[in-house]
Amino acid sequence: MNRDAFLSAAARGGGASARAVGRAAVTSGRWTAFGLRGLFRLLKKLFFLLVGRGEGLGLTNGRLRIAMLAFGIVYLTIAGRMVQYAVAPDVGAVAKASQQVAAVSRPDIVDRNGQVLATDIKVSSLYAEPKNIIDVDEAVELLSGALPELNRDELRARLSTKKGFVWLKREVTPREQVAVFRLGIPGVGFIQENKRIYPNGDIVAHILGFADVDNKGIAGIEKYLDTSGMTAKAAAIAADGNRMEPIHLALDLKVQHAVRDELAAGMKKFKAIAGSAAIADVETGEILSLVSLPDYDPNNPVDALKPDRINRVNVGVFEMGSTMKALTIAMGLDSGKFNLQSRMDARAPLQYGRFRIHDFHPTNRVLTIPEVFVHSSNIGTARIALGMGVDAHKAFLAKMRQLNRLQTELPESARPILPPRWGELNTITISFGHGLAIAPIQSVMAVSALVNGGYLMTPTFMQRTAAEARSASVQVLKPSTSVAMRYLMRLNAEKGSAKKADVPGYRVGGKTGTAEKVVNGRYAKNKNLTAFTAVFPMDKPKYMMLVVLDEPQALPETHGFATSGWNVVPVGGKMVERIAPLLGVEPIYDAPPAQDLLASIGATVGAVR
Amino acid sequence: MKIARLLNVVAVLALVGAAVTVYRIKYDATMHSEHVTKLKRQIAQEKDTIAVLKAEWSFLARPDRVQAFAERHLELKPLRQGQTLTVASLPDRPAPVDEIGHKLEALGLMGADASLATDASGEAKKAAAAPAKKTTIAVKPTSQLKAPVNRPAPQKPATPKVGQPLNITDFLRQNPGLLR
Repeated sequence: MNRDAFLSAAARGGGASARAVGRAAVTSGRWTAFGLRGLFRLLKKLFFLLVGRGEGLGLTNGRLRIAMLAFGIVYLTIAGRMVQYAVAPDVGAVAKASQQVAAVSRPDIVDRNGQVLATDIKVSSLYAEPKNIIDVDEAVELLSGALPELNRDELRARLSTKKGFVWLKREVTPREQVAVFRLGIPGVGFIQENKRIYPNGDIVAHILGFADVDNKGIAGIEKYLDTSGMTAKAAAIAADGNRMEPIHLALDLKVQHAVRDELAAGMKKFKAIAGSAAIADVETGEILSLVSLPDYDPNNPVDALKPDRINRVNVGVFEMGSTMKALTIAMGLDSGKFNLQSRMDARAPLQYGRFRIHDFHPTNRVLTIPEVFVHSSNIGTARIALGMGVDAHKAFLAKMRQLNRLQTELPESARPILPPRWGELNTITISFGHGLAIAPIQSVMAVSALVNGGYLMTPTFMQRTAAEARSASVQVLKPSTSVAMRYLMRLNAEKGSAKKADVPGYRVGGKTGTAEKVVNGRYAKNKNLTAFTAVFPMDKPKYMMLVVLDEPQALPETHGFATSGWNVVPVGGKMVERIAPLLGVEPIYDAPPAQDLLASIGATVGAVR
Repeated sequence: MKIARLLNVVAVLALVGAAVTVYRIKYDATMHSEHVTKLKRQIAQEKDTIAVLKAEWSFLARPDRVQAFAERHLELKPLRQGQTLTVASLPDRPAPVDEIGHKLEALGLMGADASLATDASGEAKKAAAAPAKKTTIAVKPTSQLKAPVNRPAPQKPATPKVGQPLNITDFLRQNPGLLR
């Protein structure tokens, strides 16, 4: 075929088709058609300019031009592609995955003394690019030989896809890495990723929470780091090849271990099903230790979601029993309607409607307020609450933040369970700790306020100075009430139910509580929740301790009793004995009696029987 | 003409020299930047290693482990009453006593030389008057101290070989408490 004829035919065809398109476009718009026709005319001109019309030109010249055009297009394509690469680099699936992995870097967590609680280490993970694997059968054969724990069928299924990236095994050992590397399978490689490890295992489980295999915080402080943006900050710093300064918790690892050790021993001894303990600094609201048993290993958190592994201090809500009496009495004293000499009639059980309120240790006489506290008289406390009235009682508990959810840094929290209709009977029972279920951490906060001069501060797991805490706190009690509460709690350790926790030298004071557990809507006589709130040293309160045992059993040496004075109080005493030296509390063996604590407010009390 | 030719030669030489210098500088710069990259990578590696070692340290020094060792090998007990003293309760430092002087006096060598004053009277009396509350700490003499029978022979701590990347996974394997 003649070249010229071909070319002109092609050109005519192009023109004809352009005209056809133009005709079609007339319907949609004359201007569009005109534009299109113009464009085609321009292209036609350009084509003939580059290639030539053929008339009067040699054969070679025309061919050369075609070749030039073809090569020109090729070069243009290459250049364009390169520009594209330069402007927007095409990241492959592997690069994407490795970027993603590198982006997850978590800050280290250390305790208040700088002991590592959680840290990132680098481990290699094995991946494959199935589209680059040539012989799937061979790859499956070799890989399952080197890594026997991989499932063959699953492996084959994964490699047979056309995906750009699949994980084969996370966190391989160096030996396995070398073995796989030696196999030399194309399309299989390693990415270094961060793995979160918790060197202390289950000691700090509930505060730390844990991070999953993708290094995302799932619970506890780990989740808080994600939600508060610390993880993102750490990742940004890690991108520059640095490590972020560790996060300092208020926690003291040594104290945490001692508390956990003693709690575990106590649980074992009294065959309790669960237990929890918390130590707080009353001046700063810092939580130095939080233990909830049974716990789990955050390195292998398979048990973490079992219902009995909850954080009992933050998430569990319990009727705290007689420890609540401290709040009721503080309310009475703070109102000014009652003082330490006020007398409560506890000669007979308190009759309310068809209910009779008894004392566990009936005294059958008129009691002063210190005697009400020391004998843990339900009748006496109920009379104080009734004297204040339902509204005042409710308002006081609301002021002490006992009626609302308490949110700390930990994402886990619980809403207290309030009576649906709060009448006088509810006030009576709540005054001695039944009918209102609160999270123990709320009790920690309230009791800290009772003894620290009346400042209610939100507990924190981060470090905080006393001045910062004071400025963020609310004064809920008069300082004189706080002094009176110190006296009462110290007196209870000298003469009352907390006697077994009166470790010589450390001026412990406290209030015990035993609450019968509700089983199927009724109080079960043989299932107790025993609690002990203690503060030391009482002359200048610094640390607050809450210990709770769930269903402790009576033992021969407790003379058949399962109330808190027989189980949780000695456990608490042992804790104080171990942690007070760690916390730097100076033992004073010739400390003055409780009465002298009242000297600063000039109050006097009669003999306490 | 000759001068022009000479100038040309000089110019060519200068050009060659300049080119060589520029290339050398360029290669040096490349080499240095490679070195910097390498060092940076090493620093990052060292940092990771430090983190691993810290993790390992806190794993080995975790309180429950230390407690188990202390219970096995030490006879330490919690602090008891009577094991602490306040600074105020410590007796005053006794006044210096010139014992040599006393001895000399007892030997009768001091009588003649009055210029050598012994501790005349006051201080010595004061020292005697001060109630020397003695606090003794019961310490066994070194000869009686012996290692407990069940103490295992000290092992040489396993140090990772230099240059070989420290493998935390092996470490985790050896310590099944971390990864069960």
